[in-house]
Amino acid sequence: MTTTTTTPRTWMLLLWGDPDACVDLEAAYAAHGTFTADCAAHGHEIVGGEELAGAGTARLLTVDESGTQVTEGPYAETTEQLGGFYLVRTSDPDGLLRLAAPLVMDDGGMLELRPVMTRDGEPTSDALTYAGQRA
Amino acid sequence: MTTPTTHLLLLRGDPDGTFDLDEVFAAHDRFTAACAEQGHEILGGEELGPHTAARLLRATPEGDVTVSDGPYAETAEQIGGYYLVRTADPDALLRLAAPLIEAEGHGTAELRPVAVHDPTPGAGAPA
Repeated sequence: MTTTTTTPRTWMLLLWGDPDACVDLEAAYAAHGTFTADCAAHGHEIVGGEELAGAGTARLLTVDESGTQVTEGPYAETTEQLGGFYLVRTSDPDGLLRLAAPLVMDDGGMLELRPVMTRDGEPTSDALTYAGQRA
Repeated sequence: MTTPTTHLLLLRGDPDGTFDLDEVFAAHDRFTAACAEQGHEILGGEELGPHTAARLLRATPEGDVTVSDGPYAETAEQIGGYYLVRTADPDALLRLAAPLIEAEGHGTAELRPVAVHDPTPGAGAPA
């Protein structure tokens, strides 16, 4: 975890958690309010984000060897479900991740921070550098 | 459903899958064109970088925090990208998205409505 990029780029912060975990909603929203303020104070620009409705509201379209099927959720292959996400422009993804820790501390969840690709043909160079080599 | 609501379309696939990237991009171009024609308003969307570039942070209720490098390992399918779409017909939107997954041969599209709250923070949380 020594890589810190210097050029700001956009990252997707995915919030994973157990939808059945007992969560203090007031505390959770307070943590998001604190996170938003901390981001502004530390130069992490929040450019988007959404909280998702419950995993049971999902519609799924699955493609495999047997063809294409549409079913109702939740997405079954994981006990942790995506609860929401932020899209953040930052030059210090590790600093951002540390600021975000309280968002999942309440429910024992997990944060995944992923670089966003550009859509003009080339991936962002720093993302590739960080990944080592793309498969 | 007649009132347009915002949905997140999550695209999951095998990060080690082999497919024609040009075909996949062409499928995305057709998808965005079809959305415009059929009244599904695309509000945003991103392709994510390699899942191996993920940074992970896990926290326990006791306050222990562990930071590590990815990938997020609890699923064989990884999120490769997403669209945020405002639509009155999520079932039709999901059908339109089928070629995005079919172009990669394998994977899942998950369509989830975003949570809607009262303007007062914390006042309209979903049950």
